[in-house]
Amino acid sequence: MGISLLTPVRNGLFRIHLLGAVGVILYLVMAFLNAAGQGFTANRDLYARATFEPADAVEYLVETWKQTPVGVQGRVLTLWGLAENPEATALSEQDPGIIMARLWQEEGIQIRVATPHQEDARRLLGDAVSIFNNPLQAAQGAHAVALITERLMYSAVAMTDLAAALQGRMVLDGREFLNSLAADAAGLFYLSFAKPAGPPWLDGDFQTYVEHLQEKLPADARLLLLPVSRLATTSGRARWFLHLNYQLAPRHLYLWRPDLASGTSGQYRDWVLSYNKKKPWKRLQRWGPNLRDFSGMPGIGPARLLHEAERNFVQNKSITHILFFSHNSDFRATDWECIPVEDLR
Amino acid sequence: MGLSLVLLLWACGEALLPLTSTAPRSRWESFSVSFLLGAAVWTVVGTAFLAVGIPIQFAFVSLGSGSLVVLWVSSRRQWESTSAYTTTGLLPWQKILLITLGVLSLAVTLSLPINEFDPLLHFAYKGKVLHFEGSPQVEALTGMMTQDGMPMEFGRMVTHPNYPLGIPILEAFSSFGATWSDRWVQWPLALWALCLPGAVFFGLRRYSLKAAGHGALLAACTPILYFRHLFADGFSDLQEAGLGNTMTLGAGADLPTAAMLTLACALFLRARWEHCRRLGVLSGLALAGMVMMKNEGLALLGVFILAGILAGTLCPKRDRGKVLGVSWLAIGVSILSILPWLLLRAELPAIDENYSSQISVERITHFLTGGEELVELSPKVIAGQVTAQELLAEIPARPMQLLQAFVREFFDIFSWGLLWILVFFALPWRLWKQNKEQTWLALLVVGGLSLYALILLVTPWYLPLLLEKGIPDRLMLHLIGPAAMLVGLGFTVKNDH
Repeated sequence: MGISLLTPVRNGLFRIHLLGAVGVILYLVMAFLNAAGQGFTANRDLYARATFEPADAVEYLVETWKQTPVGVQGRVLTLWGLAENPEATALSEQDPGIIMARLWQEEGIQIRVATPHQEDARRLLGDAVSIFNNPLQAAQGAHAVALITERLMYSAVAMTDLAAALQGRMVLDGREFLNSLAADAAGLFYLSFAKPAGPPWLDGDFQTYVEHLQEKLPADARLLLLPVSRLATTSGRARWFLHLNYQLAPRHLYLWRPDLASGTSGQYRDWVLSYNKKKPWKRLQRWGPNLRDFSGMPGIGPARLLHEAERNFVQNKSITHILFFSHNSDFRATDWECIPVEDLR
Repeated sequence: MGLSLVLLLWACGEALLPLTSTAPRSRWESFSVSFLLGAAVWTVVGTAFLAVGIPIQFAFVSLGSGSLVVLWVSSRRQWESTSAYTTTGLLPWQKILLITLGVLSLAVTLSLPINEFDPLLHFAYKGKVLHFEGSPQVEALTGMMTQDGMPMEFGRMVTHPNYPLGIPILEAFSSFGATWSDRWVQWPLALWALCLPGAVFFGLRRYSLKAAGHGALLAACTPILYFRHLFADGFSDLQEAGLGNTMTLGAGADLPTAAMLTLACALFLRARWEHCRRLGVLSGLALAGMVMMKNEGLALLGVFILAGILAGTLCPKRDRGKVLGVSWLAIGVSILSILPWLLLRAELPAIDENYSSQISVERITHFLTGGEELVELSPKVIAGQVTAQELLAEIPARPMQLLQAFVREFFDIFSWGLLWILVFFALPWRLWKQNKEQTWLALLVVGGLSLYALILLVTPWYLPLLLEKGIPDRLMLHLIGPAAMLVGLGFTVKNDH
């Protein structure tokens, strides 16, 4: 091809394209430095901080309490922090804790707050809200605690002390900041209402549980994964069994209708709906082992008896362990229970 | 072990390449092409071994020892030859740029363990199965279906069980004799972006060194070779650089597919220009290597052949003698080399993504004539946030969605720089005045884009979700090598050095 009128234009475009290499190099250098900053390990801290929708979180708790015999009215809820930014020096109307406290108050919930911004909190929330400096004092006698802002003063509270102070046992975490396994071990019921910012396999609780199973189970273990009850969500993030399957290899993991469970999002949805329609858990007694395998949370019935097809499969495949689970998009130690088959007999 | 595997792959490729007197090249090109060729050969032969029931451990020992033996033999031939490696004619700043980008891509890939859904679950899981169990014909991959194709009530889980095994084989080889490491199995997967520009240069050097330099630099400076959407959200993107769904580097299958197609094109061009049967055979192996990397490789092989027939490089009426023979040799070798994989794949369950069954006249007609989108598969509809009817009213017909998506991609400088604009300028609009190779490359690029448009047109998924996930750009990435070569050819004059 000879020289044409377009040649200068093409050459100019080519040079501009090459200039883009500066951005590419900058990005690659930053990617390397980001990894170096975390010791070249993939972990949750590489990702943005967890966030949440205040209105959704308010609705979630209200709906949960409405389904209990005690109801919503007269409940006491402690908020740990009010600000969006943990470095904030003042509070504003837009801070999530302020919005949530008002909405919960409208539902008849009594609010207690632990915050370093006491004057701002009193000005914005009024005298109906009790305000404390000490997070443990604020939690005294409350039915639940909800963490809004990630500050060290909150994570420093020992979960056993919190369990002793609370009247209820629910701990809500909007930042995936508290030690959920310590909460679980203290008999508290930990729930995250944060939108997950990192991938599921970097979830701290999931990683800890994987380490636990890797230590506990021999390489030739054969596990049957059984949902303990109705599958609660079609959220793809609830497919923890896929990540366990990868992390626990070479152990063999089995599941009901794996072709659907590990298929496309549409097939996975069919798996959830089919299982719920089939109701294999129906009329099977639920029970909680006296000494739970990992979770310290007693009395929530993490296991159930097996029906005939499950028992036959266990026998035919020489299954060594049953891994019971509650289907949930947030990984919680309380949802999982690994029991050797001989203990079931 | 991962680094040793890289050396073995290089040794294999170096041994198979013709002498530098037959196929002149620089050390940089030689390393790049040798590594990619070694990876192609190992995955093709490794798959063939697995298909006939030979365990992965035996495949590794055979390939490793075989590579060293042929390297020793070919080294003696090379020493006896008087020719040596040649120069590239690149300016010092161009060399520094290529080295910097290549080394950074290697370092970034290895800086974290595998950290994305597809690379972990679609590929590394199969790599673990091969590592621990030695074969794909085990319950871990086949245990979700009965022998007559019915789903088992209880069974093992695996995503996309019939995906090609190229990446898993390389990962399993990387951990041979060692414990599995999510980081170090990436060693052979960390060199694709480093080697791809060298292969582009090798392919074009016979045409002109300037064309080769243009092509190599163009490919190396295209952001999507490393990641997508560079600074699309401003400099705040730097805080999460290297994370999430924007990385092309890593243990996924798109970059290796692109690298294999680039290698196949480079060897094919050189085979024709040098009249070298050996390069033709190696081009066929590279094409087979592309098929081993990703499902789309098989469709790209079809486009490769079709473009050749249309451009005349595979047409007896327009091309004669040794050149035509060399070209068909490449195609013949590629088809023979993928047969073991096709036989093995027939034994693996197919639970999703069966595109060949989707591409039917009825389906194409349905979507081309504005048929309804599969809104029932939309996450919003599944979650009950909107009704199917409400969603249908919002989204345009698929042809319009695709047109918008491809136009967006062509002008997405955050992913492609100016690559597609330059491709547009380099297209041989006056076909009768161009050489067959340039026409063939153009048809390969345009054909590849058309293929992906067709696949997306009939996809059994909810299309807006695929577009949101960046599926078009991941597919278009496969064509980066031939696109860069096309620009290199289109912007320079033959033998202008």
